[in-house]
Amino acid sequence: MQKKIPLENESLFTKLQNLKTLIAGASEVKEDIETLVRTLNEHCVESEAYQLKTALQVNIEHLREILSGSDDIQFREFWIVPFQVKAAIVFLEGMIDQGIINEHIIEKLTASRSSHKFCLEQLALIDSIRNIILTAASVTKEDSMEAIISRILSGDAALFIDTVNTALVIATRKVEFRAVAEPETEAEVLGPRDGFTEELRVNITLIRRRIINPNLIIKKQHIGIRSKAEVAVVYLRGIANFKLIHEVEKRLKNITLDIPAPSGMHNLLEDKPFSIFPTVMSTERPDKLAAALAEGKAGILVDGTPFCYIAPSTFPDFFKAGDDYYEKWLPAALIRITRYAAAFFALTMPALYVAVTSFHPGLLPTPLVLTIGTSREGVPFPAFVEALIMEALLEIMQEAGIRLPKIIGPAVSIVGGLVIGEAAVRAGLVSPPLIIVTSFTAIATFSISSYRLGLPLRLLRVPLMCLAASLGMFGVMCGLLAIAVHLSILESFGEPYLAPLVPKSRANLSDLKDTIVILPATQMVERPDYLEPPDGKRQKGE
Amino acid sequence: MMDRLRKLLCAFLLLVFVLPLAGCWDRRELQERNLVLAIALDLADEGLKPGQSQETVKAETFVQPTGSKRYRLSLQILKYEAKGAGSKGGGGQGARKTFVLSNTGESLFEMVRDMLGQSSRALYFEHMQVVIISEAVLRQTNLAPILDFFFRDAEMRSRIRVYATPGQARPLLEFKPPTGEPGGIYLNNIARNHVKNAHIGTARTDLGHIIQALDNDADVIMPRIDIQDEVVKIRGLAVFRRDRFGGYLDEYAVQGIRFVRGTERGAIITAPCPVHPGEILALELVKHETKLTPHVAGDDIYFTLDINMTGNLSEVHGAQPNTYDYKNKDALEQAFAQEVLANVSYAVRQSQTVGCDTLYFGSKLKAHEPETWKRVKERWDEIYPAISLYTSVNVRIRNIGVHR
Repeated sequence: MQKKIPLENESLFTKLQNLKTLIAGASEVKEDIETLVRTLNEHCVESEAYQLKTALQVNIEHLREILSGSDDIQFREFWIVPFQVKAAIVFLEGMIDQGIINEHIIEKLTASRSSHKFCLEQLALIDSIRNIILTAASVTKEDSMEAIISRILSGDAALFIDTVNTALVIATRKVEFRAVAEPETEAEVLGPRDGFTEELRVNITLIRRRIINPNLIIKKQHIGIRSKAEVAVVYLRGIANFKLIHEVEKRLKNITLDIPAPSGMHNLLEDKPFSIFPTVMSTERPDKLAAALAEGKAGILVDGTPFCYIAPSTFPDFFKAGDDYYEKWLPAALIRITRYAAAFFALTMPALYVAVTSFHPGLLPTPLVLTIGTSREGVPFPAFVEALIMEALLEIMQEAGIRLPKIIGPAVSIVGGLVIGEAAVRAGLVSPPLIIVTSFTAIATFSISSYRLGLPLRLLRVPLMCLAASLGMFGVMCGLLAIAVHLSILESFGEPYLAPLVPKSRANLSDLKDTIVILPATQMVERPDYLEPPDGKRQKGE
Repeated sequence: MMDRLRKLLCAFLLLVFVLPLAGCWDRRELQERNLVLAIALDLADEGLKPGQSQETVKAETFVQPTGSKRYRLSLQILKYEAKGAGSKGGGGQGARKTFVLSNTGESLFEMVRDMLGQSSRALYFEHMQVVIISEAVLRQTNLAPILDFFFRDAEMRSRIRVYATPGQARPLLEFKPPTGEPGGIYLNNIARNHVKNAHIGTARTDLGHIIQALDNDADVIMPRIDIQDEVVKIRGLAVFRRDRFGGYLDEYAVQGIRFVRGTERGAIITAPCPVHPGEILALELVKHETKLTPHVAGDDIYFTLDINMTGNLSEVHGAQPNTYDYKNKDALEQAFAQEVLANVSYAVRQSQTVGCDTLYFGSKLKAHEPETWKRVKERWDEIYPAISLYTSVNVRIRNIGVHR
């Protein structure tokens, strides 16, 4: 016994050991299986893998599998009484017009009429349902599951009929959308009051209504590997250069993002995404798009955003407003020059202030030196720090103004503008001239017609200020030079960013008629030459 | 791609780090600069502050190892008042906007730099308005060596006014303008009124013009400024032979000189009334055409001057009511022409007595008769006082100022 015990103990020990490893292995396997099940459950169902079968029940099972995750999908099974076939109609509950489904589909199919026999004699089952019984406006035959699914997801109803491996898709879409309203980001005095909405079809009608011409081409495609957002390229055939259209379509096709944000589409289309300057303009105004189309540009309308993208967009385009064309030309030209000046000041004003007060007071007239010196006496910070503080304050206030609920807006302006500004001066932390400079800068930024061009100007102010604080006016000039170089390198859909401003040849000189200045409409006989439109003449006659 | 990005980032960071290292060296906030508005130059033991003891003079004095001529340099410096003090009523009209520092020595530049020992902030000359030189200094030294510092220094501007004063120069810096302007700006602005008054001889006399005159080897003129108690006035000209002080010309001579040179832009000419003896008339000059031409006949050089003036009758004493009859116009024009003629010949006589070519005869001759100029250039100082000027004046009264 004495001898055996260790032996038995040993075998028992190994057995226990084995059991332990077994349990550990089993729990591992369990975990593996659990993750496998989870991944299987969450596995993205590829609708291409399914094919339409003749048996209704199978088709419905397939649909349930593909759309099983969503609860808003509706299956309605019924009998087509006259033909004595089972059928099912599938739709998304929030996106359809129930009236059409009730009156024009189910009611028609379940009612029995004498003429039905005649139908079957003349036509196949599916065709007789489509052509004779259904009274909906648009009924199409589809036999690929993928297409059917995408139609259902965009609000149409699919009718599956037993014994037939084709489904009928009926246009029943009725989506709630915002009414056409005045554009909020691009206010104008004389311009039309309608603006784009989030609904692509409405946007297209807004354009169609403006240009009644068979050559207004609207080419739709889907982008986004998962979202399949609908995008329409709009252009005027015979006016837009086909190379441009080709380029636009190519870029849209090349978007590999799975769910692109419709309002950020310009970021996916730009030539140099790392540049801070916008090279694709977005507009809310149909009249602006129509005018761009007439110049030979292309528009990109995206479902889900009230912003339409214009390709190509060059630097001077961002300074144009619709009012320029509706106003008399001379005031319009002056206003446009004002905008350029405003952009320059928005960019350089704080930098110039810093450079002049801390490096070159000799540049100022003596009485002005006295004024600035008196107001800055006792301010503890150098002009640069002072300007940085005000700049930060301005940016924070702008951001607060945008993000806050509109009701609190006035409170922000009172606290920010009056209390902080006034109190900072009273306390001697900031000098009054700088308050003037900062507010002037802010207002100058707002007066540029494009919000998106304002952003890089706001951003570049700070580096320019740093240059001004370290190298004085020399630094400011270096900075401006660098910006100028950058602008001249940029391109928008292959067109130089400074396109009409810097003419390629003497033939392009006439493009300058609509850049910094603007001439009367009667004088602008030609379309912009840099776009190379096939038909360059804008006005007929002579 | 990553490699390139990293390289770019390195270059960018390098640039960013270099900027604050290399830059900023001459960054100095505007309110931390002492801006000099005016400079006064006196002899070393003149130009003291009233009641200044010899002890303070000693304290200010800068001992320079070389040189024997000693000047007192006074700087008028702009003073900023803090906002709070101004709003409490202390500032505004009453307060002085400037203060004066002074020093003695010979090199102006060295004195200026030594002045930093008395100043909490560095001195800057970019907003210099006036330089005032006392007659005593001018009599001791030529003008060029005194002004040389102003010609060479990069911070000096050509539009600085240069004045000569018969008394001491420093009191002018301490003068408190009634307008509340800083003193230097006030002194500069007085000189701008020459447009409306032909007595003020400040046209083309600023630092830039003096440099030009010295470079061209021409005679320098500069306005004379006087201070008596609380009265500051520009009176006539200080004239130089080349850069050697020659004396002063009075206001009447200044007007005559400006008639000859055609630099008057507005003038009031008074003449005795031919119709009412013992009363005077005044004409406001509106337009003038002046033509000074040199003539050479053998060794004889003479000048002709044609003056055509148009003006409005602006003041009449002795006619009741205050209107004037058109039929007397010719007589009036005659009277004014006589007056202008007298004025011109007075100015020419004065200038030739002093021996300073204030009439620019030399440069006219150089421009019109370069050959002759070459011949007489060396002897010009002898020839100039003897040159005759033949003047013809034609005055036209455009408007007699009728009012009913």
